[in-house]
Amino acid sequence: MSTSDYAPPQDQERWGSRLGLILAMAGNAVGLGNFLRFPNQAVQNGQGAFMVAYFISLLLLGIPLMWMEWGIGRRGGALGFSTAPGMFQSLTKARWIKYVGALGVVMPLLIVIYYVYIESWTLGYAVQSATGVLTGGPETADHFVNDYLGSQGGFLPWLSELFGLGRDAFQGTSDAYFFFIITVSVNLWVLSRGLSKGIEIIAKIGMPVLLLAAVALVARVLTLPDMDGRTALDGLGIYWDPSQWRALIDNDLANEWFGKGSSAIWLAAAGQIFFTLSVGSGAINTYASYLTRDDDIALTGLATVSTNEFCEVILGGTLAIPAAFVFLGTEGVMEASSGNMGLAFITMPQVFAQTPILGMEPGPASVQVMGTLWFGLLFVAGITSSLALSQPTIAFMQDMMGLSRKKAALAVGAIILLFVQPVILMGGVLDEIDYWAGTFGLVLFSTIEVVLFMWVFGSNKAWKEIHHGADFRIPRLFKFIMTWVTPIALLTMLGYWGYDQAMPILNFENDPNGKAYNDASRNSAVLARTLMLALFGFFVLLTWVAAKRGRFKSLESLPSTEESA
Amino acid sequence: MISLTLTLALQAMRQPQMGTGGWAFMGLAWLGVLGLTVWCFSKVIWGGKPE
Repeated sequence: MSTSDYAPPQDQERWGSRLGLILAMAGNAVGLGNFLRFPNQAVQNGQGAFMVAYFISLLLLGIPLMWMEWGIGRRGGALGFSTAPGMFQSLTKARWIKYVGALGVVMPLLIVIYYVYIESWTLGYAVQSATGVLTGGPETADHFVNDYLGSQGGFLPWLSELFGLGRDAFQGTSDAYFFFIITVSVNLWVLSRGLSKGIEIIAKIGMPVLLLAAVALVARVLTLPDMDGRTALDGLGIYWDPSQWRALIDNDLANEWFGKGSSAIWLAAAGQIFFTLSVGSGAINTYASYLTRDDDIALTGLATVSTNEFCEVILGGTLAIPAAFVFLGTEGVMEASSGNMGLAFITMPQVFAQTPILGMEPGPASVQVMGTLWFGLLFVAGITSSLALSQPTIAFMQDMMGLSRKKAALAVGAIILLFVQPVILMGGVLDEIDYWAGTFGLVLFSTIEVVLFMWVFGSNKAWKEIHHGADFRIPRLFKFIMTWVTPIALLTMLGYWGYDQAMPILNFENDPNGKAYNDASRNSAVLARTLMLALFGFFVLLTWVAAKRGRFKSLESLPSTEESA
Repeated sequence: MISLTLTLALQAMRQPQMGTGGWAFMGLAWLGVLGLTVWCFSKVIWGGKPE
């Protein structure tokens, strides 16, 4: 039997249109990473040198991995599997590989647990900007930490009074928790509606809205008046300086210029490529499984990469940093970008408060307009990504456990609500999960995928699989890159991690940022790692149960992977 | 030579400016990304399967 004549289940979900698929895939890739993480990473990790390493990583890791994941996903879908356990099992006769594939369900779920929490902040701040609660005044940092994340006031008393409930109606409940519940509910509602009636509609509305909001903000930033001789265009010079490329090959120079070694710059740039393209999480595989066997993946995959890069390099790179530079100067930018969230939630509202817009004097009114646009676009970017990250677990519950879509969505909601509690209540848990699932895990899962697809399944068959139904022929150079350069680069990254960082982190001596753990942060790390291992064990167990029920039996009739290509 | 480069880089960090190299680098990157995006979507909309 070959994948060409395999009949997928009658009730297999499909994308409604190619445009819907591209927008949903682009929505998956375009997320908070494009507008928040990218500028922070570029400024903090080598600036011009980072940008050079970023584009090299895009060509050698990002684009090849994107094609491979689309290929693995579409092939899995044709065999009736929408998640990594079945997809991996279809590539080799080794039966244990399906349990490794459980990583492709657990990792996106772990990421979405904290991602939805941060996404909910953007919704909360969009609403607070629109309603005038957020003023961008000197109290902005205090407002974020105490009023929003804490439980000392902010939006909820304002809402209580609006509805005549009395100022203390929500006492003890933080704004962050309130908006988190709303955000999770919206995500689950969309997911329960399915692909074409839920995810695709959100992508078709959300992506154009996101692009319009981003273009409007970029236009305003680039035409900001000079301040003390600083212009937005000069702010771009922070990370568009190609002469700094030498730091990539000269460790001493990198240390002198940026206070970190060449390898750290390379790793940061490669890490950003993984994060921004959403490769290595299992989410792309699941979305691609809803294609039909003859649908193109070469051109469609490249279109989602280009859309993501447009949103990241051109729009994301021209927003926060140049705007912050005009008002705060280089030192202010360096300080604001040292934490991922400070730039978005503290610095930007203060920048908006000093920005004249639509003929109005700078002040709270400009925060209302620009803050709503900024946080609104972040929320749209966030929700299209969180939907994609949730989908592998939904698909797993449907495919492997036989649950209906609505019940699967409820199960995902229950897991998120349960696991987010330590993320909200204990400092350090979010960072720990982000490191293992959102950084290290992406590289690990990608390495497994590329070795399995290009070396075990075979590069010739993999190349043929990617070109089945293709709308254009990928340059043959990429076959060499995918077979040798990408896997060797990934194995080198893992090997370097094992040599340089693994032991202190695994022994709970240093946190992933190289700082020594104290008692509190060590307890958070122990709890986070225990929870992650427990969740992985749970999905391995579910995969075993599905195997016992004969879910993988159809793959045993594949005579060999040779014929199935 | 290295110390001169270092001094220039530190100065650039304190008060960055878009020099000729910066404009060329950014222009190339933007053109590449925009060109790829336009090519992909024109082919998605008007292109067909190759012979």
